[in-house]
Amino acid sequence: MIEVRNLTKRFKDRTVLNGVSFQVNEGEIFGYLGPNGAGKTTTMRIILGLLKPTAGNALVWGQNLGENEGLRRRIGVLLEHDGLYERISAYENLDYYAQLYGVSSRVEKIENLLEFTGLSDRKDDKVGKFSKGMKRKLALARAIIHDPDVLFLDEPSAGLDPEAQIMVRDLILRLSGEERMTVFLNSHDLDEVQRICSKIAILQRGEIKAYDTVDNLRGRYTKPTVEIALSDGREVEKALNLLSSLNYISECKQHNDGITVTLTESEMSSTLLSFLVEQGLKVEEIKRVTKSLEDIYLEIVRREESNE
Amino acid sequence: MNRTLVVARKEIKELLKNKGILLTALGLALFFSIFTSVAVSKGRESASVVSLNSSVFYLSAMVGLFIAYMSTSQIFLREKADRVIETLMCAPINLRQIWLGKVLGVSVPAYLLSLLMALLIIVISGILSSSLLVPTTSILVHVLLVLPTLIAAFTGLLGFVQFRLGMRESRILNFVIFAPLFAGLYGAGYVMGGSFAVSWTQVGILFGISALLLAVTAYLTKRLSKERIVTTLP
Repeated sequence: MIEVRNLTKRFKDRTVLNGVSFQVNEGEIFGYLGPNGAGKTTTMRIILGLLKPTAGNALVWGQNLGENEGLRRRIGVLLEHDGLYERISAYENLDYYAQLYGVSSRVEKIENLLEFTGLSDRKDDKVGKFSKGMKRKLALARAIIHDPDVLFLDEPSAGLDPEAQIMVRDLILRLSGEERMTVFLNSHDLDEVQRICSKIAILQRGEIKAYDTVDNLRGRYTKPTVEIALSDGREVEKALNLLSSLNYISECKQHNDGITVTLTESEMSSTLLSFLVEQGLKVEEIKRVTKSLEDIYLEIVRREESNE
Repeated sequence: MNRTLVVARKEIKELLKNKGILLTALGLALFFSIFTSVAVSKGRESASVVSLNSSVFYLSAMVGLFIAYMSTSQIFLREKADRVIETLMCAPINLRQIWLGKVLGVSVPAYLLSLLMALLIIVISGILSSSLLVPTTSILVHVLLVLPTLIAAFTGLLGFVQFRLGMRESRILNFVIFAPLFAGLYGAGYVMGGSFAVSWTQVGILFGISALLLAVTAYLTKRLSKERIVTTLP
């Protein structure tokens, strides 16, 4: 559906994207992550046809969005800036885009979206009087007013309160689940991405550093680690000495009143537990540590920074 | 509805909600109507018609251009400053339709206001001089044909340039254009004296220049690219 191949973009002497490739399939929620200035917005702009690539291509349904007006009818866009007209009302903003997209029965559609976003009471107010969160909600309503097949979202939750963030998250999941809508999500909110995205790509300095499903990335970047809590905190020292001699442990360190142990293989956790019990240590709790997307993201970004 | 007209209608609606521009435009039209009418009605009848012709010819154009100038900044430049244009360019509408819709959105109100001013000058001058002052055919052609073409050409060119240039360059350009426009309005008093008689040749030349300018600008919009607009956003 969205296919980006060897995408390169240079502005004069500055290379913003360098051989970026990825693919987003129908119905997927794709998270595009990266630090500020990594090239995320440039990638989205090229896919949307707002910028031309220096090399490579970015196609949606096999075609260039910039050259195909009909195809643009099937996409919804919420960019970093809300793109709302502040001198006209919320209703008029939605009506304008509904007309441009040729939405049928648009009055009903607009009313429903205003109701859904909780802006019905303010529909006749000028958008300039709205808070940042209200503008973001309205911009999201505008992005989906024509029931697009693909939705491009650039930081959709920016400026929203926690309740509204959950609303946006639920909406994206619903659109993807029920309507089979494909979502391309540029975000800094790693928690949000972790919760809703089926696949992610991490971009840094114009290059893709990781591209896979969240689960696969977790598997690849998480070393099998367990946290052990002992009943008697005074035994931590003894436990550390015992563990350091085991060949299936690559690292062990004190962590508060417990120990964090990195294993060479994840299957060795039960062996480890048996060993500790045999040595007379009272194990209160042993739990597997899983890495969050944030940990993985930071690991990748920092590793790349240290390589450079 | 045609997408160009959707854009034009929205721009007109937005301009009408901009009280600053609306009041300035109405104020300009009213001020010059009354000011000119008083000057026109003071002369002898034959001189009054010459004065009326030159006033309508000159002032309707100057006020129309001035209103178009103020509105173009709101419609083209502000859309870039607020980065609204980026979202609009993702919609199923091409750049020329956007440009044309905006040109119509600015030109129609600007033309209607200058038309209103021309009518007011004729009516008030007639009332003040207690005789029916009717402008010549060339002036009627000027008001009905040349004036809308001139305003559309000016708006189109200015809008095109504002789409192409960066914000800083556009603001400098606006400042540069403001000076002759203001001087033009200020110079209205010399025209109203009746020493300047409008002929068919002048009307024809102005129409030719306006039509040519409009055609050239319409051609140039083919070269307008989304990339150029996006890379000149603030």
